[in-house]
Amino acid sequence: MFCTRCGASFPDNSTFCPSCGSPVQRPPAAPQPFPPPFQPAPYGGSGMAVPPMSLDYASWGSRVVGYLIDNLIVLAVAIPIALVAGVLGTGAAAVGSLSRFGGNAFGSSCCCVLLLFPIIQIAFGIYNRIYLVAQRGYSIGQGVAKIKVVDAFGNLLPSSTLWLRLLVQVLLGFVPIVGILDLLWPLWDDRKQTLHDKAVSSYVINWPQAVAMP
Amino acid sequence: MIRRFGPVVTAVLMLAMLVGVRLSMRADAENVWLLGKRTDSTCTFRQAFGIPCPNCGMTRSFVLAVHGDVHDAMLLNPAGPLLVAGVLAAVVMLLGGAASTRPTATARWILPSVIIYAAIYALVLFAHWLTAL
Repeated sequence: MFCTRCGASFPDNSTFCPSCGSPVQRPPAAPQPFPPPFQPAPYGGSGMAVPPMSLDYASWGSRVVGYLIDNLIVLAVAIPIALVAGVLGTGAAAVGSLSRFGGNAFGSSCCCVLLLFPIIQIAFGIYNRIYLVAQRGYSIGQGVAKIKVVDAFGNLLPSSTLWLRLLVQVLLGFVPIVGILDLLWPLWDDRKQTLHDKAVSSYVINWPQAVAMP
Repeated sequence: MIRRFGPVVTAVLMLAMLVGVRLSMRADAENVWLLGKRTDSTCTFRQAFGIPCPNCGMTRSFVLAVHGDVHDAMLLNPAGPLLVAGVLAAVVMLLGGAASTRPTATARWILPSVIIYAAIYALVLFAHWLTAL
């Protein structure tokens, strides 16, 4: 460095000029680039993770196909249990009464939806929606629909995020009207996210040509 | 097209559902009538275990709340009026978002509001169930 007063040369870490004793005036540090301004996504987007690259978002139809297949598997387990409970309940209450049986079989549907379905959805989801999706990016149903769950950068999500995603989905599905809204939301969302996607900033994309790399 | 009108169509269908329930169903503390015929469904959970399930009374409560009888609906199951209020709030949210010239201004509170509502709904349902046991 050189002294701005006398022009003498001195080491870079000096505080004062060794020749004239004047304090060293250092050039101002280069300004740091500002982060991009906060831009929340419309209709409930968190704005926390704006995709830096163009993701090939899955269509609503593909998502519904994957959703239906995954939930049909859950129903395939839940319905027999509900029916068995219905038959047992009938047997305990009114043996041999066909009309009562019909009533109980119908009545078991609310128990199925309210209690059994979320429990089995979480239990099966630990394998299907957490383990499989963390390992390969898609559940059984999503594999059939050729779609994949990723983060804003196209990477697979960690298990902890998938846990939160599953729990939010089950919680929202607990309220009938909110569960329907959650399912419909990609229809009008810019990034075709559901509400439980937005909760963890996840995206569902088509695969294998999912990410348009530059 | 569907991105623009999807929320409006969904809101209209939700309102139509409420109107349909109001026109086609009625209830009292014991029964529900659909198109004038009393429905006959019993809760398997109650029959099997001798205690009500968390959802017991929801149909009667929902129908009563749609008819404006909030007091009796609350006594049967407080989640019923909460569900009706949630449907109406969703209609306002969807129509408001569609009509807003600044959709991002309404965006930030939607997701936390929906999650908080769902959590309150679940808490109310199970709290009522525990007190009814």
